Order: sequence, then structure tokens, then C-alpha cells
Amino acid sequence: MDPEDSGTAPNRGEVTGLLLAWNEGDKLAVERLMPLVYGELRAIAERHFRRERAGHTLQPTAVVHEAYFRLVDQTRVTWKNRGHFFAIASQAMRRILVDHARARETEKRGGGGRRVTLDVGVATPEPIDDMDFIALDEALTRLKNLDGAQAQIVELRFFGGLSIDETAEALDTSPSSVKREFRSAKAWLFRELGLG
Amino acid sequence: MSSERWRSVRDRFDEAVELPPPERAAFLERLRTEDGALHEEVASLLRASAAAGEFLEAPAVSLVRESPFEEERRSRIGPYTVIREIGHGGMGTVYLAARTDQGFENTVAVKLVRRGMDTDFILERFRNERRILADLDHPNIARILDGGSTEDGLPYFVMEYIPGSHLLDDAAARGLSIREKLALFRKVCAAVAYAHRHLVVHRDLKPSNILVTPEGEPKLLDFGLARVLQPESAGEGDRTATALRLLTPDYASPEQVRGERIATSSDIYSLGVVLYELLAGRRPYRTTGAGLAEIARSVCEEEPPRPSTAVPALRGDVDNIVLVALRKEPERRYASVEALAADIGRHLDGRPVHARKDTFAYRSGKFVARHKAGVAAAVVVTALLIGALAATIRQTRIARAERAIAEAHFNDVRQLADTFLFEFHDAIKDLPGSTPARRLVVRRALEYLEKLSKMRSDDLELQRELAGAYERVARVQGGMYESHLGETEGARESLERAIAIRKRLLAGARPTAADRAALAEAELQLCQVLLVTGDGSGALASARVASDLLAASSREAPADAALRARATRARRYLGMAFGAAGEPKLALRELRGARDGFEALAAASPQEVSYRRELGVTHQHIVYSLAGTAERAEAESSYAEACRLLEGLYRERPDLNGLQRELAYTHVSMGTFCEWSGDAEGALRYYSRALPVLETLVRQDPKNADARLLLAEDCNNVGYAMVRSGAPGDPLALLRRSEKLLDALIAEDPANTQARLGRARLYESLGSANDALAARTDAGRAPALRREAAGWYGKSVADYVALRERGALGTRGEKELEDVRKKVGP
Repeated sequence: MDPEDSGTAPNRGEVTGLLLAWNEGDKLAVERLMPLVYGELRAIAERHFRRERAGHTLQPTAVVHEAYFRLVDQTRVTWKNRGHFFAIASQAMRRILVDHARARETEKRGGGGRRVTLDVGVATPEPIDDMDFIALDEALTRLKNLDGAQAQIVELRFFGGLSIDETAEALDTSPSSVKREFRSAKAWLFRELGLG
Repeated sequence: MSSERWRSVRDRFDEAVELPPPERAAFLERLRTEDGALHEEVASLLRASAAAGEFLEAPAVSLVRESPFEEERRSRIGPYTVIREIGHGGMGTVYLAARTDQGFENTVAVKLVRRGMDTDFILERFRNERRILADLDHPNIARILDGGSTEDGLPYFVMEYIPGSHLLDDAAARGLSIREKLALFRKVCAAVAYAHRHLVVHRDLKPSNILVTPEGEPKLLDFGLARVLQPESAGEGDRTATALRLLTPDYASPEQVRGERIATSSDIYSLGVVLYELLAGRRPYRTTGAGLAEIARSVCEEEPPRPSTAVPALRGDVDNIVLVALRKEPERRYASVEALAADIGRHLDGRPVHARKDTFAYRSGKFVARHKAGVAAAVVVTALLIGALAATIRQTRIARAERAIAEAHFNDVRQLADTFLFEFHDAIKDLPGSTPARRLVVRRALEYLEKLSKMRSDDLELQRELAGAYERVARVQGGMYESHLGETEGARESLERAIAIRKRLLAGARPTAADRAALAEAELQLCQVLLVTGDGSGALASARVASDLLAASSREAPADAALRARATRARRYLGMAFGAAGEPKLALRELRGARDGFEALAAASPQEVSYRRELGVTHQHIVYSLAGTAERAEAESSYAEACRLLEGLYRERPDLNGLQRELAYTHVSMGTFCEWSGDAEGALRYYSRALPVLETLVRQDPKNADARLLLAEDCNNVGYAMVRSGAPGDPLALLRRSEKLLDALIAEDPANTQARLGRARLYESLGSANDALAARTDAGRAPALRREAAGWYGKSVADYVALRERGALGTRGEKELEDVRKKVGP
């Protein structure tokens, strides 16, 4: 493990404090948490990408988890705070990726670069190479208007990289209901993006 | 699509997708005939679901082919060329930069919002700071020079660049003396006062927001949380206050912590914390490792130790100046930052400062000292109290002319009952002969509390305050450790009132976790009082409630070590209560459980003094509870542990109150164990060990009635053990010394029931001593000794009976009386 991976982030006390304050009903705590989490996630993800270039395997789920261990004082929080953190972190990951995609889009329109692509994977019957985060982000916002909980499940699973069980824990619901809601959300988004 | 529509589509989809293909086809057929549109939706979703495969299954990051995370490297911000980054916080980055068109002569600091952090909240905070700084122009406030937006739309502003370190680092690096630190701090005050004159409250004053230039000029920074006072919109100022609540409580005022309205007095408090840390080298409250609720409680309730406890040279004026700035009640702090700065100036010039611990209590304390006759003092004190009430009301009327007088009056009564009377009490409590005056203070406090509780029963904050005040009254009336009036019955009543209020709060609409903890603490306090009176079953009931409440809270937040410590402490009391209720086995079970709990806590946080101390005290109680059992090995090992822990702590932290006392108790407990095991020599050895500890305590503070009482009781113990063991020495000399100490205590304060109880016990010992001598001596002298013994027993009985008539005997006293009566014979 890199030495830079270990240890705790300088904002740890503040992040932990904000999580606890949020739990106590301080709604504005979220607003203050977001930038701190965003910054830390970027730093961690950047390190992961650097290592990938150096020949290491990228384990994307580790990004959010690593942020959690670096930013949150485990001795002071409960599982409920943990869920809140994952929700924030997933939202931050979404923002990071979408912001980046937008920046590249602008660049492309300006004449340079290429579009960030999503590799949808080999199991797809008709492989689709190009799909951008911007469309997904917009579709997800529409899904949120239909069912906020489903949109959040997608955020936690896809952007946060959480497992079914972790998502269930974060949302204080059962794994089977996460599985069910994720399945219909996934189908809806797939269709919404004009892929199916 | 509406969300209702989506729900029905989704429900059908969920149903269909689970079905095997043939049945699914049948299901869809049925749906088509029922609702064609719905069928179309569900069927297309099913198709999408089948085609989606791994779509969204792999985490987003793994699908990105290139890193989107390269840090932005900015070379230009507007017309400025970036030289390097000089810092970044949660919301922005600060760059050292220079205007390209002006060469690189004038470097500036450019604060830029970071991409991705441009949320509404951050942007508002940013704009707010820019607006406020633009209005301020003072040599000790970082000046704003320019502002704008980058080409990609991120806002920035330009400030003068301050090369330098923050206040504490600077003072340490330059090795400033106390006077130099005070002079530097006055400049900070000047900046804050200037802002206040422009109706700007900073609200986030802390050392890291105060930079000092190499020339020694402090510069105030970061007005991101500052607010412009607007009387007409006072109510909405709470937004940021709420966000701030519980975040960085180290420098926050009590009203900030509570999320109340913030005025300039809040900055005065934060300046007080900064000054405290600058001078004393530590913060007024221990906040590291504590939970947020605990920190908030400290800030709102705990009296900070005087700065001179850390740096003795601060004793006197500086202590007083800092503590006035740190007062819990905003209206009792300095009226303005100028007043604070002026007092520092007076101190530097060697003129008398205005800050006093408490002017009124100070004056009347002196007065009572001059008039030592208790009765006269009581009369005078009453007059003073009434005068003071009138004066406070008059003063506040002038000061808050704009506010409703009724409100002012209410708050004064509240303050009088809540803090003022207690400060007065503390000022006079060590004066000989002050007991009647102290009683009067308690009576007045109770009257005011009664009045208050009737005035606003729907004001939750007030109710909490009332319960707290009743608890404080109870502490003065009677309790376990502190100097008190020995009115255990009154203490019990006060605590029952406090508990009734706390229970109502807990059953009410908005109970907080703190309410639950507070109820548990009140029950524990009652448990202590009942333990003193020997009411074992009452103590047990209270300890059970407290222990259950705290154990439940702790289970809900298993990671909260402070909470677990409180639950474990409640368990210790439960053990002690079982002991008092005549259940030694259960007592030991709980005490051992508490011991294991504190052991784990102390192992996890070795730096936490209170855990080790609690562990030591728990070991001491185990030793005491083992008395009467044959578990010598455990008694000895617990005794050794208690000594090791408490002695170690005393070496480490001689400033902690009560450690010596706990150590003395440890020796006495082991002595009791030996005595009950028939080991008179062991009893003598351990009781004797407590003697020098207590002698030291009395020498250090000859006025300390409590230490003198303990010394008297231990002289009794040692003397009695000498008689029993037949060891060489003069037991009667020790017993007479005990008598002399007790007589003096009773002469000073005829109402000191603890001393009277001690004397009744001593008489019993004197009787036993003579009896024992009679048994050992030749037949000729025995009858005279036995007659002498009978005389002492008689005096003992008389003392016990007198106490009973005063209603101060308690169940334990009753039992002792019965034992002496048996010795007197029919």
C-alpha cells in the first residue's frame, strides 16, 4: 500500500462533526459536507488512476470506502452516519464525473479532445461503446422526480460503487427491496437513454 | 409520466419480471386487455431490462478510460498570474499571484472558489465575505483589493498578501512575553471593535483566522461566516448559526453552540477563548477526544479553570479579564470589545482593572469576613441580596432600554436563581460561621426557583435551567463530596423536583438525548445523597434508573466512549447502592462489571485521565465491598491497583481535586476489610496509611472542614485498631485528637451534622477502647475502665439521639445507635 493511502485527512474532525450535526437535524451540514467530500474523493481517485497507469489494478469501489476511512472518525459515528456519508460521497462522485464530462464536451465543441465514454461491458447483447454521463445524469434527475428513492439507489450503486447490502444499509431498507427497485430503475434508465 | 403512473408501471413490471416466460406472456396478455397503455409501458421496460445486461452494474469510476481527476493547474485568474498555491480550505483555494501588467512587484492573495464546490451555500458565503470586506478598511483587517469571475465562471477576490504565521505560532516563534502577547492581542481587539462599529459580527474568530506579519501586525481574515447586524431582520440571522452549531465548538460561544441569536458579545467570548489559549497555552475546555455533545455541554455549563492554573504568573487581573470575557451569559461579559481592550490596557499600565470574579459576591464576601458573627451576617446578607436584585434590575433597565422591562425582570430573576446566588454562596462558603447565611441563600434560591417554575411552564429551555438549578441547590444542601450544609433531606427534595422536571421534559414533545443523560445524572446525584443517609433501597432505585437510561443510550451509540464511561460510572453507583441495600454479592457483581468496563475504556484511551481515575475509585469500592468476605487475594490486588492508579494520577496531575481524598479512602477501605476479617494488625497498618495523606490535605487547606472531618474519623479508626491489635502506641491520644478535631468543627458550626455523627461514633470507640483495655488489664483496674466505657457509650447514645431529634440521623445512624445501645446493656 502506498504510504500516502494511509492515515487520516486533515478535514477529518470537521467531516465527522458535520455528519453528527446532520444526524441531529442540521440540514445545512450537507451543504458544507459536499465540498469536503468532493475534494477528498478527487484526491483519492486521482491516486488510483495514477497507480493504474503504473500497472496496478483499479478497484473503483475502494474510492468511496477509502474516503470514508480517511474522513470519518470511526469511534465517533454510528452506522447511520456511515449511510449518510456514503450517500454524500456517491452524490459527489456523480458530480465529479458529470462535471468532467461537461468540461470535455465543451472542449470537444471547441475543437479538441474526445468524448468521455462509458464502457458498458461485454454482457450486453448489442455492445454500446459510447454513452455519456451527461445523458445519464439528466435521466437520473428525471427518475428522481418519479421516485427519489430509486434515483438514490442508482446513485449509491453506480456512482458510489456500493454493493446491494451496503446500499440497503445506507438507506435503512432490505437488500431484496434494493435489488427490486434497482432492477426497474435500471430498465427505465436504459430505455430512457435510448439504448433499449 | 407522473409518479403515481410510474408506481403502477413499476409494480406490474416487478410482478412480471419474476415470472417464467410462458406465464409472463399470459400476464402481459391479460394486461393488454385491461389497459393498453400500461401494457405498452411494462412490455417495453421488460425488453429494456432484458437488454440492459451489465448496464449500471459496474461502478461508474471503472468505466472511465482516462482520469478526470487531474488537479486543475491554473496559471491565470483574470488579469492575475498565479505564482503558487498558498493554501486551500473546504471551499476555495488561495493563490499567491501578481498582476501581469504591473510586473511582479506587488504580490497579492487570490481566493478562488474551487470547481465543483460552487454550491449555492458556498457561493453565498463567498459573496458575503467579499461584500463585507469591501466595507471594512482597517490596518488589522486583511484588505480586499479586487474581485471578479474567471472565464469559466468561478468567482474570486483579491486580498493583500500577508506573509506570516497565525497568532499562536507567531507568539511561540517569537517567544513573546505575557505583556507582549497582551499588547498584540489588543491590536486584534482593535480590528474586531472596528468591525463591530460597522455592525459586522465575525462569528468565526480563532487563531488560524488571525495572521501576524513579520512586523508583528495582526491581520484578521476569513469573514466568510460574518454577518451584518440588521435589527429589523434579527430573526433570520440564525441560518449560519445553525450551520455552525457543533462544528468547531472550540472557539464558539455558548449561544452559538445552542444555535441562538448571535450578537457582538459572541465575538467577545471567542476573543476570550483566543486570549486564554494565547496566554495559558491551552484551551479553556478539554475538547480533544470528547464527543460533540460533551464539548457543547462543557462550553455551555462548565466553568473554565483560571488561566493561572496553567501559567501561575497570570493570577489576578489577567485571570479575571479572561474569565469575564468567557462568562456564559452574554450580558455579563464585557459590554464591548473596547471595554475588554481597555481593561487589558489598564492592566498593562498597572492601573486597577474593572474585571472582578464577581463584584457583588466579592464585596459581600469581604463584608461577611469582617463580621464573623454568623447571625449578624445573615441579616446583612438578606439586605444585600434584596439591594442587589434591585440594582441589577435598575442596571439592566438602563442597558436594555429598548427591550421590554418585563423580559429583563424575568431574566434577572432567572439569573439570580440560576447563577448569582451560587456565586454568592461559593464566595462565603469557606468562611467560619457562614452556615446560617448559606442556609438563607439556599432558601432564597428555592423561592425564586418556585416562582420561576410557575411563570413559564411551556418554556423548555427554562425548564431545563430550573432542573439544573435545583440540582445545584441540592449540591449545596448535601451530597457526597463537596462542602455542603448537611441538609440531606432538603437535598433529596430538591433533587426529586429536578427529576420530576427532567422526566416531564423526556415525556414531552421534543426530548433530546441530552435530556435523557441529564435525567440519569440527576438520579445519580440523588443516589449519592441517599448513600450518604444510608437509604440503600432508595439509592438502589435511583441507580437502577440512571444505569438503565445510560446503558440504553450507550447501546444506541456504541462508538461513543464518553457515553459508555457514563454508563459504566452509573454501574459503579449501582454496585455501591447494592452494598448499601445489604446485597454484597450483587454489589460485587456490578462493581466488577464497572471495573472491567473502565479497564477497557482506559486501555483504549490511555491518555484519558478520568477513565483511570474511575478505575481506581471502582477498585477502592471493590475492596470496601469485599469486607466481610474471605476474598483476601482480590481485596489485596484491587487495593494495589487503586493505589497504583491514584498515586500515578496524583504525580501526573496534582491539580486534580479530590485525588488525595480518594487515595485516603482506598487505605481506609483496605483497613475496613482487615478489620472485618479479624486482622487487627492489617487494619492498623492500612488505616495508618491514610493518616499522612489526610494530614497533608488539612495542612494544605486548614479551612477545609471536610478534610478535617475525614482526619478525625481516621484518627478514630487508627486508635480503635491499635486497641484491638494491642499494638504499641497510644490509642487514647489518637482518639482524643479525633475528639478535639470534632469539637472544633462543631463549635464552628453547630449545625454540622456530619461532625456530630463522627463524634457519636468516636464516643463509641472510646467506650470500646476502654472495654478492650479492661479485658486485658488486671482485675483491679478493670471495673474503673468498664465504668469509663459505659460513660462514653452513654455520651454516644446521647449524641445519636440528639441527631435523630434534628432529623439528621438517617438509617445508617439508626443502626449504629442500636449497636451502641446493645453495648450499654438493658
